[in-house]
Amino acid sequence: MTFTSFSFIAFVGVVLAGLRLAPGRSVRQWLLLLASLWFYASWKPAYLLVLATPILVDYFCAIRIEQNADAAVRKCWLAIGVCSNLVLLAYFKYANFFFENISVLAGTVPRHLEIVLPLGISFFTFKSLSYTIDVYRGDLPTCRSLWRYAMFVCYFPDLIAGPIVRASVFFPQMKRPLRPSWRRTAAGCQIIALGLTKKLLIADQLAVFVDPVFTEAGTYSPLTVWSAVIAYSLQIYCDFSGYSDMAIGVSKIIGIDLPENFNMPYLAVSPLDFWRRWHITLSSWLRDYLYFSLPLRRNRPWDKYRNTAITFLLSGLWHGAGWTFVCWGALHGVALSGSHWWAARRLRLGRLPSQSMGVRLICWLSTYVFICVTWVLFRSQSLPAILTILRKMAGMAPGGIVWLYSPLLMVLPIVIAGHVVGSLAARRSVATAPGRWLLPTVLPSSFISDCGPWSQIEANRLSGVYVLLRPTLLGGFIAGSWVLAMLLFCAIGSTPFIYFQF
Amino acid sequence: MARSRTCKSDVSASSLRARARKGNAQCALGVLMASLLFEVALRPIVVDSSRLGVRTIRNYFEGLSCAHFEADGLGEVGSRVTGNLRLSGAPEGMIIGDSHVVAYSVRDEETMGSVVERLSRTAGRPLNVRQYGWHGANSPTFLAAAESLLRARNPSWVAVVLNSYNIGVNALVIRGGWRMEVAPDYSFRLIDGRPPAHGRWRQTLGPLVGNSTLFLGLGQRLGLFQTRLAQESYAKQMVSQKLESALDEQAARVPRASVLGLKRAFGGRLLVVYAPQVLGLAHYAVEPTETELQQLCAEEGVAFLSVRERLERDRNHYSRLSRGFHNTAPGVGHFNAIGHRIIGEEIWRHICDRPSPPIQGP
Repeated sequence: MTFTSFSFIAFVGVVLAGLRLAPGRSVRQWLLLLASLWFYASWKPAYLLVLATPILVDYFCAIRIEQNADAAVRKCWLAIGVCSNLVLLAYFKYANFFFENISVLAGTVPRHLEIVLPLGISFFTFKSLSYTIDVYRGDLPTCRSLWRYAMFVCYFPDLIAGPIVRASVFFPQMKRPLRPSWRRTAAGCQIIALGLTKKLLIADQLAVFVDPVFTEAGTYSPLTVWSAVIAYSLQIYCDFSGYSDMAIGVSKIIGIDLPENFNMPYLAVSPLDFWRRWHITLSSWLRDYLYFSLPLRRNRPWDKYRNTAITFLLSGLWHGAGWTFVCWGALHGVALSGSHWWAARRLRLGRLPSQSMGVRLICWLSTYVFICVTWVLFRSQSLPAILTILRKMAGMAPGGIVWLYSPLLMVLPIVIAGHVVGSLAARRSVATAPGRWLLPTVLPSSFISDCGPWSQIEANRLSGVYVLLRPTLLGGFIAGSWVLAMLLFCAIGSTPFIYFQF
Repeated sequence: MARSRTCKSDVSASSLRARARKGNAQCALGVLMASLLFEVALRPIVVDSSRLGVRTIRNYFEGLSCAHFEADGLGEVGSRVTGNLRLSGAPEGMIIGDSHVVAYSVRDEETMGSVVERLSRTAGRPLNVRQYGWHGANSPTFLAAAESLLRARNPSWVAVVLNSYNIGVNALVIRGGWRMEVAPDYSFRLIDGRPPAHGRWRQTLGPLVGNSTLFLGLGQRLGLFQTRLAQESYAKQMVSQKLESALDEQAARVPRASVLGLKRAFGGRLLVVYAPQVLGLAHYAVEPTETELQQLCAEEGVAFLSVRERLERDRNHYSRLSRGFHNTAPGVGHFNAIGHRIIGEEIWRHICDRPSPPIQGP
């Protein structure tokens, strides 16, 4: 049941109707839990057991951690919680990768286990892990209700591909009525529509071109390969952020605000900036639970670079069990360490980052090209395929089929326009935000600001900034055009979300 | 005091309701304006008009093209206009096939029929070529149409462009068109599964759809969506092997029954043209259907021609793909201008080898 299927629309419709009609909050919470379990079971019922493992283990480990004052015992329970999640992840995701590499080293026939990767395992184990670590660190009180904890882990909008929501953000919101209101429904539906547009109108259209070119890159001309790489950069962004938007939209209607996952990442002017904007919940998770868990001494700058490199190497491995992903992570790790080093050096020399337009443009372009090159590693099936594409991109293998895909040329202005609107809205939301907007609070605060005759900015400290249409003549015109464009030009037949494989 | 407060809240509630109603009405008006905009904006790219016996169909799914058809009541939409002048007294050839022959996505002068005409005229042996196609059609459709085509056009030769889709299990199970049942002795029965020409909903919506490009565009999209759903359900059926074994056996008899049927219908004028899928440089294998069809044609004494080698050569030597358009995946979709040119050239090469185009009675 993917987010773009009719069955999912029907499922959400039934869940929302149930939430609207259910008499009390606890009934609604139960309903949400059952719906989430049903959602997961619709894919493979037996794998509910896999989902249940981190729920049960982390729930009890967290209680034991809180109950014990002895540091060694607490650490022991933490280790049990963390290891159980990692073992689960290692078996389902990395066992075959491990055996393949062992057999290559030993020169034997590779052993292949028939393992079906549980959907969303990387996401729900990380959610559960963060809870146990937060309890251990004393940042979070223990959840004393198993079913509430279960609802946190298997909450269906973010279960399969994030955003990776933290317990500290989720639990306070469970005190809300969880009853869909018209205002939240209107806003949520528009955010879902935005996600659907990104997925069906952009990502799936581009997938049609990207897939064959990446499969047989050697047969295409350098220009075609370059355009496919650019198309893939847009495809993966629109695919993943489209999914996140849909998850945020559905959750918004339910009454729970999910954290922002993307903030116009291709406007980044450095690799560091990119990771502040791309898959924000994962990068902040890695920062808080991995980077800061590694030894970090104040007077040893190399600790910082080493931790960054290790974090991104593991981030690559998190994305997929393959050397291409490891290389992708390593490349980002090196680039980020380089960024840190460069920033520290400039700071030592007393130089501030340049604000000149030309310098920013060069930084942006070089960052975008770097990101595109790393996407080649991310998307390719093998190391030889990567080399073929990079050779083509470098112009070392001229000739081949020239195929200029016109939807890419139509998609580019849409993406650029989206970024312009997003940038203006973000600027405006900061300018007009009430004072509390800037204060670090646990609970999300939101406000709505008018933005002309057709739109309003709905800014939420947690979910980010969205430009939503208003029920006016112009708003109706834009909404109507939007729906018709979707019906007339979106891809027929959706491809699976890219991040489902992780 | 309390009364005035109640009164105030009543007023504010009613004014809120009025504002909401006004907002909704404005919103609906906005949606209507958007529809009008699309109606006008789509006119240059989605038109299906019939004027003075020539039907014009534009499409934007594969490339951006405008196809013309002589509405003579034959084929799905009529005889494809070739863009060349019709020469009186010149022998007439005919090309029939599925949507590749309908060729919505290429210009009139790029169609395979047009190529044959030009080559024949350059060679000093002028021909007029009629090109009839049916969307999603299989061999039963060609067999069912044979009699009326021969009666109306009396061509000197008939090239039937086939691929593995046309002579597979689809010929038995397809809905919304002609299908066949094949007996163990290769005799067959044609079954007309076409929808009634003027259903009730068509009568009601027909004039509206016929005049609205927006409805036409949405209708075309709905058609594509239905096709996709049908393909997916068929693929699922194939994967789960739910096809009955009896149907499998019958499907194996379709190629021979088709060749026999086409031979019976068109006699010595028949030329079977096999046009396979050619995707990517790694694909060199000859499709089993091609080998089977070639053998069957040799056994039955039917002229056979495969364009596979030419398509592959063109792709390998000139890095050109014969299928697909600027808005489709590379090499995926219907034949483009290159594919039509190659098929046209191959048909002509085969026709011109004959001593002279034989002209036979119906």
